[in-house]
Amino acid sequence: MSNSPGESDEALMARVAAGDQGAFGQLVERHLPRAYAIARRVLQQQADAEDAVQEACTRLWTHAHQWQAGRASFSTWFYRILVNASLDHARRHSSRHAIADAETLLAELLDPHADLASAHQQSSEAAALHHAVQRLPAQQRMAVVLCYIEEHSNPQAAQLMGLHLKALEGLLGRARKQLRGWLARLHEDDL
Amino acid sequence: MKHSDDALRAQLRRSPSLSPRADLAAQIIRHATRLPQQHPWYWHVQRALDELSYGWALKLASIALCGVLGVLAGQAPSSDAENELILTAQTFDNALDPELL
Repeated sequence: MSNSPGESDEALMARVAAGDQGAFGQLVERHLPRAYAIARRVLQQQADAEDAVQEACTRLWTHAHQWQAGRASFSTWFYRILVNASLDHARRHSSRHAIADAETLLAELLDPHADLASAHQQSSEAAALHHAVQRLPAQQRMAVVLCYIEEHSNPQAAQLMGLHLKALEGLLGRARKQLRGWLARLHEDDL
Repeated sequence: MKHSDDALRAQLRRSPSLSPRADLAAQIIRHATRLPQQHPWYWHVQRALDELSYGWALKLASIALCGVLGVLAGQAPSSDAENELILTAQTFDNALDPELL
């Protein structure tokens, strides 16, 4: 069984479809940081983000035959599963408006290279921004995360969310307007 | 408006990355690989055909050999030893018949 570290996603996926657990492990290790970052920004709770990522990765294993080389790239196929899993979680827990545990979030956002005072200041700003994004409706939140934080192009993000490009642009426009308002109010409170 | 949009995007882009805990990948791999992979019906048909076609010449030869042996066995005269065995068994059977005892 070959196990080269530079193997493409598509080659690994072909092996996963044949039941190769090693190839599955490599794919998970490779995509987990980005997948988790997306889910964590869309879902309020760390546990929900972990569940959504686990759900997407499990589907990658159990439904590996559904991926067809040539029809879509592996990334598009996998991140679409992740986006759907995250939005499903967000809908299921929409009644639970608990704000994420602030200390957990600050610890996750803390930059290990910054000194303690500036690190705390930076992470507080980042947490404030994170909370502002969390207040957006789930679809707007996902659009912001994909386009502005993960830097997907608008057509790519629309494909991942299964939306028409115009619909995605509408979501982004409404999200920007709300975020500008909230962040401006936050700065006014700080002054 | 454009300027404030750019500033907002830059602020979002600068936000630090959120990393998964160290053992999450191992946990996910363990959880997922415990589950069986699901396959569509045509995969099962294809697999059955593949298994059937594997070593087809040997399987065909085995069936033909069984057929030939069966025909030969049917035509072969029964041996004396076998006849004696059948007679002995019938004698015992009669001797043990409860109506005759």
